[in-house]
Amino acid sequence: MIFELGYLFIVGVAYLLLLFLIAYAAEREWIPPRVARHPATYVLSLGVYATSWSYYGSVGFAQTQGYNFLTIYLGVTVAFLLTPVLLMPILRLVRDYQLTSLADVFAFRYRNRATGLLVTLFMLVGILPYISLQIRAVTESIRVLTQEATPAMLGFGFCVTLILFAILFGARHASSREKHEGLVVAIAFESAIKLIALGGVGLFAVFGVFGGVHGMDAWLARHPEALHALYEPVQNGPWTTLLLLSFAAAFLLPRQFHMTFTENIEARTLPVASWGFPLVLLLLNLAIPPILWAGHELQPTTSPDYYVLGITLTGSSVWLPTLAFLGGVSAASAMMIVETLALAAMCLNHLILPASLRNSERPYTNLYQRLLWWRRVLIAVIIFAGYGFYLLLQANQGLVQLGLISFVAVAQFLPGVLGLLFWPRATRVGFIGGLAAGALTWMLTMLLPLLEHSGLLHTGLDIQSWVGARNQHPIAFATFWSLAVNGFLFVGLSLASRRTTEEVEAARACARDTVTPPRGVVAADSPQQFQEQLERIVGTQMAHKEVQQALDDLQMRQDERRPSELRRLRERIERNLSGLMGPDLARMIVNDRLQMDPKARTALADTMRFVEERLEDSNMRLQGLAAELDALRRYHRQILHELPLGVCSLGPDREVVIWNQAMRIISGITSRDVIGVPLARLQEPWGGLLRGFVQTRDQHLYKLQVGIHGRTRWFNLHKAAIDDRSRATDARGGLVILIEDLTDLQTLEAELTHSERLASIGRLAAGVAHEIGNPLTGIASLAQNLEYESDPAVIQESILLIQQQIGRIGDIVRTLVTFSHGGMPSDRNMAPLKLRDCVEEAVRLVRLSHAGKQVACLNHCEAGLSLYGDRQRLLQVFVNLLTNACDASRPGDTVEIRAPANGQEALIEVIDHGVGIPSEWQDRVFEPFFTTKQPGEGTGLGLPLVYSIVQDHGGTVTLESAVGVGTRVQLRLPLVQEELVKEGAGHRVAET
Amino acid sequence: MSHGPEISRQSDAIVPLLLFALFLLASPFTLMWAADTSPWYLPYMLWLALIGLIAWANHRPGAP
Repeated sequence: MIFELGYLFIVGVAYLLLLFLIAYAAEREWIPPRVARHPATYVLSLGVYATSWSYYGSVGFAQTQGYNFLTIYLGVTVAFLLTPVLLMPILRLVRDYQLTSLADVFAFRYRNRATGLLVTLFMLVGILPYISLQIRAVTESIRVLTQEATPAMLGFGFCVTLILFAILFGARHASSREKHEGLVVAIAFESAIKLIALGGVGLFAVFGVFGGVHGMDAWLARHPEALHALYEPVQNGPWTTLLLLSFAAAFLLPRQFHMTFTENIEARTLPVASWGFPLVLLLLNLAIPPILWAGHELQPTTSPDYYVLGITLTGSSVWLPTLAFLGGVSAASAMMIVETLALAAMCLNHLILPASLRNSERPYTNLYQRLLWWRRVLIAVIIFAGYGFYLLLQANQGLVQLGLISFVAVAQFLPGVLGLLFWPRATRVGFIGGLAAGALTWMLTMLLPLLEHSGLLHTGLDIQSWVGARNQHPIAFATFWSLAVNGFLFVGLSLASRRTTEEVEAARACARDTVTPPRGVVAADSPQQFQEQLERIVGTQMAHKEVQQALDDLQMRQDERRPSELRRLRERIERNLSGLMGPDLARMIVNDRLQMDPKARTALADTMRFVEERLEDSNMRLQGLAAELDALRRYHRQILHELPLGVCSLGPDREVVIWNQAMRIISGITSRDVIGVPLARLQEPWGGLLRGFVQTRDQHLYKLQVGIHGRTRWFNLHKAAIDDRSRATDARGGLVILIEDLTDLQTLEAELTHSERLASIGRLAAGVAHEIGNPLTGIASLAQNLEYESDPAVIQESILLIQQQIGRIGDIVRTLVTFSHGGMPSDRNMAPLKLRDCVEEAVRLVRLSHAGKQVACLNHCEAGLSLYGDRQRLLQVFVNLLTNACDASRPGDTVEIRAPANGQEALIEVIDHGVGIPSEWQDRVFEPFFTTKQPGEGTGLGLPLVYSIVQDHGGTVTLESAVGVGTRVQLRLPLVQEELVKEGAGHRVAET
Repeated sequence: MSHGPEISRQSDAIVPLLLFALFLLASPFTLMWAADTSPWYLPYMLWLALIGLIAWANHRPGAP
């Protein structure tokens, strides 16, 4: 059967259009996103590993090397077996730091611009044979089907078509950090086509050629040399070498790295791929032996590399050869598209951008567009370079041969990867030295012979003969010596060189579980400053977009000022830029424009937050003592947060480190808004309150009155220093502040005081009625007489007497009204007052009561003594004491009030000669609601209120009593000098 | 790469699997099964068995 070139061209282009349609449908979500994110899609997309080499070349490989062809896939199985310790860590690194290629990963770990440059250049040279292999396979497959020499432009046309599709698939956005779900779905579809095509040809071989499985077994029985040809090379061929090469290729080939890590949409799909991908490869290769034997049976005119096509031509149907052809196009196009995208990202980040940004004197106006166009140009350049390589090489190299040359090249990155994951001591000097030596050895042992064999070079160099290893398989020889030289220099130079601080940090980042708290404080004060700094390099548009993106990623606000959050923002910007232009440039830009303050110390809050986050992450993985310590830490933290007292802990630099739940309730400020904020920037009134308290010498402040949002509140404040023994002895330690909210208690106290006052007035009621009744009776009598009086002198005298009686009633009423005034805590009026006058007023009030009338209250207070306090409350004190004294006295007794000056304080004594208080009750008289009176005669709150009010005024109260002798109540209250009245010693009032 | 407790749990499965894979593929046992008298599908059966073990190790109860 012979096919027309035009037919194959139409079929090929139609297939590629279908691919583009599938990719477009996936990106527009016409294909549901769950399909793109499904593990099966991811697994199939990894099938890009099976290129034309696998599709066509495996049969040729099986022909010459027997079952050695399986090593190309068994090595992949071993690599994916190690997913948890080999592939998952790389995936985490790629996702955390937005690394888009292997060159990015190495540049991140081995911090040096030469690292990325060397890896990119070597990868380009090493993969070119592989790209040329794909072009060769497609043109050869057309030649097989058309039985004509392929026009020279066909390969060129194939390349142009692929450039177009590579740009449409993977270069429609500026950044390679964005996932291309369309590309993943399209590549998965291509893998499915390969599976179906090879499976179809395999089934044709078994059932179409041999008539079934039994027929094939019978053929094998007749041709035992066929099995021998498969097994014998395993005994004598480079089995182990090929296993090692395919192990490295499984994740180090640019296309494999790109699909496994860069385009991985969901991390959970990788564990499924650890067995799913090898299964796909197994199914792909199951058909190879039957196809090979069918080729032996049918003897088509093609070489064994193209038996996949050749045996289908012996049949009568058109669809099987067409399907087989499309499978080959799938294999080649998928490889070239993905490989080119991966290589273009490397070249952009490590070749083009470093040179461009270094030479640019002005910031770019639209860097995103420039990145996009550079990426597109690079795709074209790389594919045409592969085409150029294809034109230069003679067709006398097998497909497998070309592929293995690239495998040995890629294997040179294995020592670097192992160092990245498992050896923190590795340095960039060791990596660059080892890689350069390995690359040179590869060139001498693999590339040079290829070019000699193709007639492009004539050096006469034969390294294998020089070292006396002529009989060794060339692949084994090249692999051994290149990796030996590479590994030896990698280890030796790493040990001989010192690690820089950057390398140490990078090694820790790659190890990940080493808890390294962040260091440094950003010099900039705000995200706006970040943007202004970045503008100078990347232009206004990009600076704004990148800063906004980072703010959105971290859910931060534009007005963020906390140093720890700004440092996180800086790190996020660096990571996002890394996804756009590689880690080297991102770090350079951020270090240059968003500098750290060299003098500032890392905030303790920052360190604590980092440690807590890491411990939260590793909670499920901690065991033994670490788990116990973590449980204890959580328990203590819970205690602090659940404490009914407000706890505010400050670090050595006076930034807020702890702000517990009670503080949130008291202040209305959440811990999220305040942790890491310096005390100087804490919102008022709390900032002022805490700053003031921190600066005082007092360790405790009681009943501090604070006005907050128009409401007066009361707090007790306590503070204690935290000694940090790990710091230098002269370094300032932290501070812990406890805040008790007394507002409710004070309100309750005031209400009780008011109740007691009203109760006192109630007790005075009968006396008051009598006191007012007497003058009223006098007024009535005088008024009655006036009616009939005509003598002006008598009338005038009567009027005077009436006015005296009215004045007397007025005094009594005013006294009662003044005494009954609520006196809520917010109404307290601290002012200087004369002690004697206050006591005198209390005596007048007490005389209104029945008991008060029968006892003489003698005021012996010195005239010049002044107190500073609330007159109403102090009046309450004296009323309560005098009332108790009168109640305890017999009619005709005296109650004395003395107050001699005693230095800075007044010693006020209220002395009665009444019944006295039994000793067993003396300790309880200050207890609320304790009373010796009958129900209804006393509330039991009088003395407790006296105690509370005196304490509020900075004084003390004591009591001495003896039954049958009397009681002496002593008050000590601070005196105030007239010239000190205006200075507020004692309570302060803070107003908003 | 994670060290410590996580890798100790993962190595419960990885180390024996790796040893088994190396035993199958890179030891003198390889020469034993790669004999002319072996059926042609034997390498695929061994490969499938290895894949099955990998699947079991990743999805067994208690796997991280």
